[in-house]
Amino acid sequence: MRKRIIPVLLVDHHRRLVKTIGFGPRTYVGDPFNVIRLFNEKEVDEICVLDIDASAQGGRPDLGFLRELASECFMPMAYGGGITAAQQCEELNRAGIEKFVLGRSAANTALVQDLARTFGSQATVACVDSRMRGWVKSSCSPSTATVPEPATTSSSSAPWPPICPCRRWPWAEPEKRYTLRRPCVPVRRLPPPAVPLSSLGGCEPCWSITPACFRWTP
Amino acid sequence: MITVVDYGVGNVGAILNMLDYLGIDAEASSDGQQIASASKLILPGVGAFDKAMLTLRERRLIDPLNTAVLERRVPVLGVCLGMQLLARCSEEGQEQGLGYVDAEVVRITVPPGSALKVPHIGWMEVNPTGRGRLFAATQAPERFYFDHSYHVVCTDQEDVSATFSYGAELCCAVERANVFGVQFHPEKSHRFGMRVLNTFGQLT
Repeated sequence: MRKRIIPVLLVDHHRRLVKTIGFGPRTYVGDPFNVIRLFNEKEVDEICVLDIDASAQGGRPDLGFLRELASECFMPMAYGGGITAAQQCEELNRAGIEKFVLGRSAANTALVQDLARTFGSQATVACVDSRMRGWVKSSCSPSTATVPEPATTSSSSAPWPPICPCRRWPWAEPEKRYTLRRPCVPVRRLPPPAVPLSSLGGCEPCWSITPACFRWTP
Repeated sequence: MITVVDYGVGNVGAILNMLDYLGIDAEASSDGQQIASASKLILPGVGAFDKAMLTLRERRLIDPLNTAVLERRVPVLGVCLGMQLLARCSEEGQEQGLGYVDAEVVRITVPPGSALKVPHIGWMEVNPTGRGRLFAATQAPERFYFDHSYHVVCTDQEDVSATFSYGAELCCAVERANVFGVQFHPEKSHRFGMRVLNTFGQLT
């Protein structure tokens, strides 16, 4: 399969494009429509838009806004943020979104399977918010998965990665705690279909790329 | 002026924006009269075959489409599911298709044990057959974004204007007189899709 360049754009609830530092302080980086037009010119292979406020504020995908964004994209668009049901993905699909990114909903295996069946596993993406330090408990039953506290408390109020890594991920062994240190997920240990996401900052070493994102193969 | 048939299935915005970017006049329309008198048509579509055909019927758009395509013989370009609707029928549903191309739509089958998946989603290079006006056989390789589970099988291989390799050589573009269809999404395939839409826009 050919290599693909997939920029990831973070939007907030004001429909602004932002860049965060360690899931905390945000910097406004521009208007999403302008940035998408720029990436049209650059001919990127796909684009991924993540609404970083949708889930945190209990919101739903901003359909009207996303329909307009998708219309501006001359390449396929993935969207994540506030997706909790397959019905939403059908609406998103009609609005022109080709791929669905699940963050905390990725723990809902029924939803993941449903999406993979309806839209294909290629269109279903799980997203892990990874930090430099902390703990992820690799209990493999999402229903009982607890969200352990980070080893070092951060001043930021952003939620600790809320999902439990699936047993299939090679570094996840049952009942074993993992410390995510640099490199948080070494490139060579990524499962073959995994796609580490770059950010607007350009090509940085993998350990500084966050969130890391993996294609889900149920 | 290109009329993009807007029958509530999928987002026509990206096609309109790309045509606008190319400087080609285009409008979306769900009005029968406008479609019947159009000078060029694009028929988009995503989702299920039956739902799309039923929606076209409910909105009374089939007769206007027939008038434009079969009587007035204006160029029509089916995109993705829109291409499949040009066929006679589909394995995906019970409804009859528009039947502009002698073809049927079947589910993609991949060789057992292969890593290929259905639905087929992603970028793929296409191989022009050298027939037809939308694809020139001599041009540089072009890649397009695909997103489909079914593909069109033409009865007459002369109608196939491009193929792609997915387990076997499958048809991804048809062309018969004034009827054109592409299985991929030109509106999501930047430069390459623009080339296709531009070629279609310049057809006379």
